[in-house]
Amino acid sequence: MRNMKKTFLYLPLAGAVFAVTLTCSQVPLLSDLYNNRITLVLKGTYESNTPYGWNTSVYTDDSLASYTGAIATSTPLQSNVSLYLDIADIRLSTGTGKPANVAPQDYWTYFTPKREVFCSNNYANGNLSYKILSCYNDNGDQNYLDLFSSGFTFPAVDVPQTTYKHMAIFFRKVIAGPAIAYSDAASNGPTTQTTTFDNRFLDGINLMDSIVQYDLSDTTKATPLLFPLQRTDLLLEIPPGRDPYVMEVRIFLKNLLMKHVIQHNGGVSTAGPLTFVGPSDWKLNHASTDLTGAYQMGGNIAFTARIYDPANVGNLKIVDNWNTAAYSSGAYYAVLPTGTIYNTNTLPYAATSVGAGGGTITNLPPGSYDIYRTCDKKQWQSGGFVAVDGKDGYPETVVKCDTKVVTAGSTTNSADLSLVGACTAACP
Amino acid sequence: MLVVSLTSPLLAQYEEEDFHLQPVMGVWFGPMTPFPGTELSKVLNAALGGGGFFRINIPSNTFQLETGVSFFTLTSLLTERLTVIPIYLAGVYKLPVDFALSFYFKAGGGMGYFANKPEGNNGYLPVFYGGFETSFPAGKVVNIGVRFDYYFAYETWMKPQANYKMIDGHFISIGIMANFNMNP
Repeated sequence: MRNMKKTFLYLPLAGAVFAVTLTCSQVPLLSDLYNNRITLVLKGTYESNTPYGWNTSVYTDDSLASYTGAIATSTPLQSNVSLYLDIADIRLSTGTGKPANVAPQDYWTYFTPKREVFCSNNYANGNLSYKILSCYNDNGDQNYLDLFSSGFTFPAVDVPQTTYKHMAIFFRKVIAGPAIAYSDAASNGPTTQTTTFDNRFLDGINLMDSIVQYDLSDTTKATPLLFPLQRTDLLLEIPPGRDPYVMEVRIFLKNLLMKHVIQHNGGVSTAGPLTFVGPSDWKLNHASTDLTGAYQMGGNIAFTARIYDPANVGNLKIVDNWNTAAYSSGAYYAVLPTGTIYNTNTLPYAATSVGAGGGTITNLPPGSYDIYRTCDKKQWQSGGFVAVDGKDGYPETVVKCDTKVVTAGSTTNSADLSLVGACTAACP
Repeated sequence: MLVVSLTSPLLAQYEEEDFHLQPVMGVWFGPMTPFPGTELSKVLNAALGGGGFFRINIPSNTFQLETGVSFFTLTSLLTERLTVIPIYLAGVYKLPVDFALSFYFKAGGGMGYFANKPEGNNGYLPVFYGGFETSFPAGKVVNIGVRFDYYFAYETWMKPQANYKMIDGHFISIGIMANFNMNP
């Protein structure tokens, strides 16, 4: 027993020597948890820079032409449209689709700590400045303004350093108004539709109930989209090291809103057509008279995401001496890294509005970029995808103007694109 | 009360005995959490962990030496994880009261191994330790008790970077403990 006691006397001494000889960490281990490298910027615009202001009126679907009276003619002013968004979270994954036998926690990287709301603060019961106090208290008013201008900084924490292919934006609610049901096709018996946001009544309908929840091709409504907004073809590479970086996510909502009609005679308690505001049917014609398909417009909200290191970016100034009046609405300048193929079904890498004399795209990592001009020159109608100017807000036609190399820390000027290549002509 | 206890002539007999304190080894488990209100508490949640320790005699009737190690992985609902393995050496002061419960106060220091996610860095930081323990004998060998530990992980000695806030770690843990007399 005496020997044992001695043994234990030496133990802490050995422990102390062991502890002292260990080398202290040269990198912060605790502070890294508190400080975040990521800045997650969410934009509700096609443009990554200098977005257009709101359109005066929303677009109207071609199917409204077969109605008379208020259904056909009362197009809501954009300033009278109410838009209330509730985003539960944004999530990432390295996979390209969650297998059924994998738990969500194992598939997704959750990195946004809290839900965010965005409120246009109009309207209810004819009150254009209707304020939902709980949304206001959650900064929903300012969030809304930020989302559709310079971008909203979504609270986020760091994610493991890897390459992510799958991003999903979990919308809990997308309320758009006004929505009015009529008793017949001649605009008799209008009834304003109401729904709830934050447990308060509001004029409008929740697009998440069905409209954007089901893919338009899903005729049996068998598979609701897990998220109406997800992409599995992204290549978001988190930069190694310890420098801050920006993850920019753009959802095309601003200047894409359209007045739609759904003919649901006898289908629900209010017999007659229902008009509502939602994303335009730029991807496939809205089947307004199809009792099933009329409620399916999934996939009409497009989004994209990119990552840049703000310490290692340059600007590209697009010079264009076309008279801006030569462009119809829905015209943009877009850039793609050289070597990538333009896919008109998704948003480009970065874009800017076409202003007088052009615009500047900022925060481009150094490299070579193809400059495109995109225009809204087509619309889905019952007769098919027809050429018609500025009817749905989505730029479907694209021409490549030029290629320019951007270097870090400086602004590269393009040539006057109104004199270069395919862009000497007006929108195709 | 402490002062009264220390100076009470009734306790003088303790000094005449040689090493009446028991060397013990013990194990414990319980939750650890970043100290509420500190920076890390805004990032990490509590987690269950545990540890073990040895307490040995030194030539004193009120003081002993203790060395211990414990293991925790603090988690969050999001991406952050922190593995905490403090290794400490502490002086132990036993409250000299004649009571069924024994009370121990401990202070010391050592090193802590920390591994963080999502950054994926790991290494050692200096750790300062303070603790309180109370236990009662359950037979000749076994004692049962609870312990409260506080660890201060010192990181602000590093040079701060621009737009970067250096923080220290404050952790508390509470454990249910069984320890065994080595010299029954």
